Amino acid sequence: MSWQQQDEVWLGLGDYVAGGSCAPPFLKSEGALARRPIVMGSMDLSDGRDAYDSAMMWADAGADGMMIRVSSEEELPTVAMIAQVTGLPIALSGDPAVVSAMASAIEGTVMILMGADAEGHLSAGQNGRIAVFDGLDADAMHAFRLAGLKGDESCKRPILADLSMFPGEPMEEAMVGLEAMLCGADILVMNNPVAADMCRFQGEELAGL
Amino acid sequence: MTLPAKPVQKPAKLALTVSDALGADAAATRIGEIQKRTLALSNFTYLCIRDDLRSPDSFADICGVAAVLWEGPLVIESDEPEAIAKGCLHLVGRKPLVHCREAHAEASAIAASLGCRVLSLPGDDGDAVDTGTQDLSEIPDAIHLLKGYDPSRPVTVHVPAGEYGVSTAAAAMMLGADLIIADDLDAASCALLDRIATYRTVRRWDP
Repeated sequence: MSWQQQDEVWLGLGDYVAGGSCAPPFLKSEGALARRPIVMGSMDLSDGRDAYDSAMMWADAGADGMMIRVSSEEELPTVAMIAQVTGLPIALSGDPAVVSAMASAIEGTVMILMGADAEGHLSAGQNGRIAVFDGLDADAMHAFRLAGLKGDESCKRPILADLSMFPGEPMEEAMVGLEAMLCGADILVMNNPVAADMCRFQGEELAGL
Repeated sequence: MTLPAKPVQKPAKLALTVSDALGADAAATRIGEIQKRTLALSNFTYLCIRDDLRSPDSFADICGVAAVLWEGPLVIESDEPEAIAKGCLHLVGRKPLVHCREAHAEASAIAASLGCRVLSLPGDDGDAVDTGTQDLSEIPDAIHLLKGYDPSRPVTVHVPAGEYGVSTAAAAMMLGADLIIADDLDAASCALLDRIATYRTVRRWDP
């Protein structure tokens, strides 16, 4: 039996791609792509920190993008600024109405919308174009990706593993991220920059990049 | 890690290493430190003796020190047939695992003749397989292929010291490796890997 190729999506300015796997993770002998998961850092615009500094911190740490938690449409200029300054893919999380409204006003970059929808962007969630799992639910991710590789059309979507609220130490978070990658996650949203850096490194090593 | 409700039936085992370059006194101190660091960790049962000097006598000396100080199972790691032979003579009755980093028929034969189990390279018919020490990208393929065809076949992986050694070891265990040899790890990393070994879930990708 041959594995079925999974859906892939293009993010940001079109220079990042997620998904598209055609074999179990990192198994080159079975035809896996030389492609590592995208690693995003999490930000919360209401946590009191300077948004520009936080975004640049993630960019400097080597993150491929940011998941930004938003709470009000008044934060639109900040999100637009981050998208423009970093040029990196962005995922928006928060009240679906706020996320949708904000996404509709931002053009020129393809964003992931957690639990929401807007034209020109990618919805993520139960019925979205990207499947979202709690990063701790590795069994579910593995089952989903295995079903997709076997041809289940409903399970071919890229997997986003959300670790943005992970409470543990960076090394623990990195281990969870590693496990998610080995279970087929295509996008990791990390809480700690050190853990994100380790996952990015691991992804590159495992993918042979 | 996503931990299951109870420990797995067959946890991975782990080893830290002691180098013959330390000399006998420092090696004894090192072994004492490893014992202290891993005392409460149920899966750090092995000690690995590394042949870094490529001096059979020096290697044998450290094997003798380890034989006295370490009660658990031992791994000796060398590609030198003479070093393996001399080392094994200090470990009579201990039946150490012999880990050859390079395929070496003579070394393997000597170790086998002394009643040791030989860990050899992929493609050989040894009891276990070393998937390599540096190139992490080989680990998923090597372990998957070997375990896929024969899940009962032991797989050994040697990882470097430090935080990337930790994640390499973790990846190997999650993929099904049975024995992880780490050059060195701090106490926190040992505890983390011991927990992963105890509760790991090895997920298979059967078509």
